[in-house]
Amino acid sequence: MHQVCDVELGADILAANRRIAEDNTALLETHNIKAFDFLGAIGSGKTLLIEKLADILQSRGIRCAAIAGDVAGDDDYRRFSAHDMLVVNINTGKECHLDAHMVDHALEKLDLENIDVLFIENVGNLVCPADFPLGSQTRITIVSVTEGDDMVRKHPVLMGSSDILVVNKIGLAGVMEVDPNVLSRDAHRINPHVPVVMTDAKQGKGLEDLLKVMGL
Amino acid sequence: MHEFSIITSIMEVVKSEIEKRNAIMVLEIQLEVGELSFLSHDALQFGFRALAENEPKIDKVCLKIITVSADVKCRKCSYSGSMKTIESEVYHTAAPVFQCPECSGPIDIIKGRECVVTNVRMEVD
Repeated sequence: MHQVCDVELGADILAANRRIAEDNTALLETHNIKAFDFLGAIGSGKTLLIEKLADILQSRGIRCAAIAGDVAGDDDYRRFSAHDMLVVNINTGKECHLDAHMVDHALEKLDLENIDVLFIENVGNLVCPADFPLGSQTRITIVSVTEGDDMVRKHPVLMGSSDILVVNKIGLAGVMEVDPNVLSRDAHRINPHVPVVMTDAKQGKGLEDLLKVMGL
Repeated sequence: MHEFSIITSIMEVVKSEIEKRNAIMVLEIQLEVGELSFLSHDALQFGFRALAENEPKIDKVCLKIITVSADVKCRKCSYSGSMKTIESEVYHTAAPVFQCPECSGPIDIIKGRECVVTNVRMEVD
């Protein structure tokens, strides 16, 4: 005679990632590395923003490194490498996000003794990466005015997962007929405490403001 | 669509229980998903059906998804409890506000980002 039984499990599917993320944080802190992970849609300007920030920091003697996360290819890896940074490329293949385990392996390949600031560029995707903390101390979300002024209100919960919001490409706001203040206002309706920084990475605008908010 | 990787992990948990208990069939899997997670219930159901198709002991199972509401703790005052929400036609749903409902201070999320397999109902000998 077959019986029906209920097995209480309490198995948290996201817990394994969180545990590895915590280990990554501990490892980074042991080496006094400040790590920032950048999350944003494809084409929001993550790579260029990191390149520009790294140039400024390296000119001040701050040693930078990067982890380039992409579904395929080494385009961002090559771009970062041209800035005299230690870089690890992660191709996620079919996955739409980086996870803490991938970052853990990337950290094994970096000379952590010689890094002050680590940039982690996530796969271009505004939603999926949000469920996977990587172990960085600060998560920066980038939206650009070319994505439209409704980007923030379309992703309200994401504002609660971001430590800093960057509104990028503000030099194109006029052409796009987008008011960057709308993005900022929408972000503050959901998360009144999130710092919002306006940048135009290509023109080099707002970079010092961003570095200040990043505590660098 | 990160739901497939989540479903893959859920299947591993369930398959390990099947093996451990030598189960004949799984009847129901109960999953609690936090309201602040970025998991779509529809995508979870779709991913589950797709991956369960080739698993004879799982393919007829009902995946029951329960939404867990968020709890927060204020960093300034002693508030601990549910989040403030704003109702607006802009969001088509109640959107959470990431500040203390009592003093407007910054908050920490205590609950609402999880994805937990809470219960597996199975047929055993």
